[in-house]
Amino acid sequence: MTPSASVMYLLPPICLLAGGFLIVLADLVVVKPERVLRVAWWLALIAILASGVTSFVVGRDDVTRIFAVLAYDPFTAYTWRLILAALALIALISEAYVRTMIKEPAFYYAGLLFFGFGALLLSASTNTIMLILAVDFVSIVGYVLTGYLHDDKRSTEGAIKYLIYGSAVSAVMAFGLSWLYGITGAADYELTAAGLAGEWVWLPSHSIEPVVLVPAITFVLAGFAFKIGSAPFHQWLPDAFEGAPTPVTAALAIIPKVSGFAALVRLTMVMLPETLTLGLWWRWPLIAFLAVMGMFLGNLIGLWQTNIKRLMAYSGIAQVGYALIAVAVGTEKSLASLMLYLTVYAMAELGAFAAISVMSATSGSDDLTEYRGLYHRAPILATALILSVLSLFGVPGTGGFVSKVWLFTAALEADRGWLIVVAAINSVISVAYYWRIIQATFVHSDHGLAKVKVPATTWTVIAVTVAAVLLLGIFPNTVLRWAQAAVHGFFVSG
Amino acid sequence: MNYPVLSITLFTPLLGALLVLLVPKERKGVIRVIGVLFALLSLLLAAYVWVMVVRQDASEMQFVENHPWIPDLDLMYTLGVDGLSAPMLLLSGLLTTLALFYSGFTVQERIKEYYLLFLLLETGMLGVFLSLDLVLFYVFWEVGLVPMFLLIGVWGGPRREYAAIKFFIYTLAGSVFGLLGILAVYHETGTFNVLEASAARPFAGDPTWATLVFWALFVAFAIKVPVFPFHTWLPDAHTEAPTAGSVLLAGVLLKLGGYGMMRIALPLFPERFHYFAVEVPIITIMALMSIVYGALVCMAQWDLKRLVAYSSVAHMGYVVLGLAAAAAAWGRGTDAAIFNAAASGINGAAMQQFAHGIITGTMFFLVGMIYQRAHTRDLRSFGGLATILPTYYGLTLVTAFASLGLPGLVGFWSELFVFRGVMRLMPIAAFIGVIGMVFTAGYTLWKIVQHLFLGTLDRTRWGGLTDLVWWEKVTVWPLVILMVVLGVYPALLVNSFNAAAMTLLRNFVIR
Repeated sequence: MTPSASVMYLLPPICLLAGGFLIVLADLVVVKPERVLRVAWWLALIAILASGVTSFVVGRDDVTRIFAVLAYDPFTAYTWRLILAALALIALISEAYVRTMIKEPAFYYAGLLFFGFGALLLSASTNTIMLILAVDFVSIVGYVLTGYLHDDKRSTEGAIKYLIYGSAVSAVMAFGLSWLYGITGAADYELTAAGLAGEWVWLPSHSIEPVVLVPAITFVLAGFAFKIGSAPFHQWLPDAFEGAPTPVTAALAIIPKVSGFAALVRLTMVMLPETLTLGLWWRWPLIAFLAVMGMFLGNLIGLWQTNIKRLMAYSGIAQVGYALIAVAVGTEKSLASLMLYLTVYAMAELGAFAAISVMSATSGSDDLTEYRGLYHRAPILATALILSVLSLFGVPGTGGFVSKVWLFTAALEADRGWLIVVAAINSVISVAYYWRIIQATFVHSDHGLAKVKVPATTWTVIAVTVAAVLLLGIFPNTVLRWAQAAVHGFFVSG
Repeated sequence: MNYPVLSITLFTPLLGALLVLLVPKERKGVIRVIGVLFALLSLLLAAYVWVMVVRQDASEMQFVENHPWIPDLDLMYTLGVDGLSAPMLLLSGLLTTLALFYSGFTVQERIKEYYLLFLLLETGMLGVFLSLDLVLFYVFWEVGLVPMFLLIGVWGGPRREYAAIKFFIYTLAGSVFGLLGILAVYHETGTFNVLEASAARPFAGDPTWATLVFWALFVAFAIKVPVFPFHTWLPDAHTEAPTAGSVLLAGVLLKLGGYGMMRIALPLFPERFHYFAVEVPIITIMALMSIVYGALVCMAQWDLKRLVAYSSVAHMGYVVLGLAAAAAAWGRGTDAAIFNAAASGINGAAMQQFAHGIITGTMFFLVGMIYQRAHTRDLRSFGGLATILPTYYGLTLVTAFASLGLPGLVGFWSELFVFRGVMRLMPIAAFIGVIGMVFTAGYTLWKIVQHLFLGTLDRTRWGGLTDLVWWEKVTVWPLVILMVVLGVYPALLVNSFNAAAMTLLRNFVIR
């Protein structure tokens, strides 16, 4: 395909990029702060919408390469749409929050769009250099957005921790990738895989012991673990979650995870397939280890949290642990279940953060004690929060249940039963802290507190996420089929 | 045209819950009426289902509905009733209706959420009895769990939050591993259908896996029943739950565990059940411990509600003992005497489930009624109440006698059937189990009857107590009448149970 034709497939990320620059430009032109706020918000929404529309125009079933470094296929389409849907809902959540808490709204919304842009590229990368660029792009925008509350020490602290941690891990990841590049002479995933299999690009064919490359893939995995927020590379995450403006916390909880998982899946399936010894080690013990660590650390440390954003951070670490089971298993069924898992996760987190965002803007605090009696102060907001928590936990009737059952079945079929035993133990542990959210919001009946005002944009988000969580739990068939179609490409030979 | 009767029965309470959702929370009267009306409606539907099942053929699944739910995951929406499940529907409908009726006069706080959760709970309970798909079974199992958890946590006693989370974590720990067991069964047999999976005999040639999966499922049910040593959540949950919550918890939710054992654990793994009931008699010992230890602990209680809670442990032990007897018949040929003894064990277990449901349900109502008057449940502070509360005394006496198994009342038949099976198939267990019956008589007569009603009345303290009012009578009388009717004419129920139990034995256990 000619470069000019493949640009068409790049339209969704380009829309986000253009939208971001337009907002920055508008900030220069528009003078009144009130109008900047509105213009920036509308431009952001329009850009995301345009991006979403173009992602449908280019067609779901096409399989193509964009400039030889990005892949457009059903998998990309699925992740892009998920990221864009999440981004649109985050923009909606942001409206009321930004109005009260943020001083320079234009760059905030521009940053959000750039964040999405980087995530789209990350999830489509088929080239190690592109991968490291996209990882860094998403991270750098992430640092800026995390530290966006200039007057809040915790925001700055979170951003700096994120920055230092992120830079170090990116460097480690780049080092690992350069090692692979040096050995195989290729940056493209497929060529790297060929090189690792002994079909060299530069050198005459000779074998190399895979053991030599174990440090390299470990470094690469560290980068992914940082990006998706998996233990043991999670230490930055609770601080960044706590300090960041709440809608940014929502973005951090969803966008790097979804795009990071997409990149991880593609790299796993294309560059380190199961046919390679290295690919086997990559799945087991490396990813399986991360999964187990994530589940246990996230859930156990989560037990001690009293700040709801930190609690959600640890819950997220555990959720990543569950989801990593799917990658460690690596069958068609497990990866399809991963796509559903990420979708449900994104919707549940958005429902929760819609509520948390309103609460942070209203009370200025994220302590769980602020949520006492929330059910009486804002019944629907509290219901959305509770439903999200139930879905994260996997109660039947919510999407969380269907995705977990699917994931468990897939793992069992691949004889990875012990991983789901670990997951089951962790589900039980996690009740103890998910319960605390329900306890504070629903069980406590503190009367007499002022009603919480819920902005109209938040209503929209709540309606969408509640509907999504319930529909995915009761009638998930359509999305199930999309998820299967998305990953099918990895299992078609040739 | 064939109406999907079971689906209508199942979703009637849910529809009621949705209607309650639409009513503004200030309109308490409307909410109460909707709640009772929809519970009553599902009771009538359950009664219709039961009558039809008995008239048609209680030994086979009736009204079967089978639709794909999530085809990509092989999940089906399969419902069906036979003689084992139909009476349980009736029990759920009856107790929910009475509990909601009673709550209409006693619960004042957060009415809307209360009725909503209660109706949701009913759908969950009915769903468990109706499901013929393992995952659907699990779905309804959990759907019932969350509302009960919140009912205890919000409307319960002083230590409600501790009790609620303890209840939740216990049950959940069991059910999560139960889910793994279900998935393992699916992995082995390729179906989630209860009957097909039972017919396929999962892991028949692999004792290690069979043992693991059997225990994963069995413990899930054992926690719910609860069997010793998994019973420690129960006294707290029962004591702290609001009266209507205790009624349903004891009356129906515990039965879900027993029902799961007879519908899933026994037919799927008769060989393992047999092995752990006879060769390595862990299950039998657990059941006997529940019976004897539970009754002994009752003797030591001074809190009336806690006493009734522990008596549930003891009484539910008979259910497990009856099933252990049925499992003991596995592999002992098709001799008619053995077959009949095994059927008697299952009949006794099923009958005990129903009997305990109405007896303990009534008991918790009665405890709630005395607590509302006296604001204490400490047995030491009472005495001589018979003179001023004659109606209450009479009703409690009948219930207490039914509980200890007096002939002529419903509790007698269930224990008789259980022991008939156990005596033939594992006589030693029968001798130990009978000890429990003696203790039961002991605590019932000594603790409940003597300390509450006999002796001298403290006039200054209790002189002002009034006897039951009309709505309390309306709540308790139907249950007491049922105890007597079923006590005099148990065939009404036993025929239904027996037909299904024979099929179960013939198809899955002894074949």
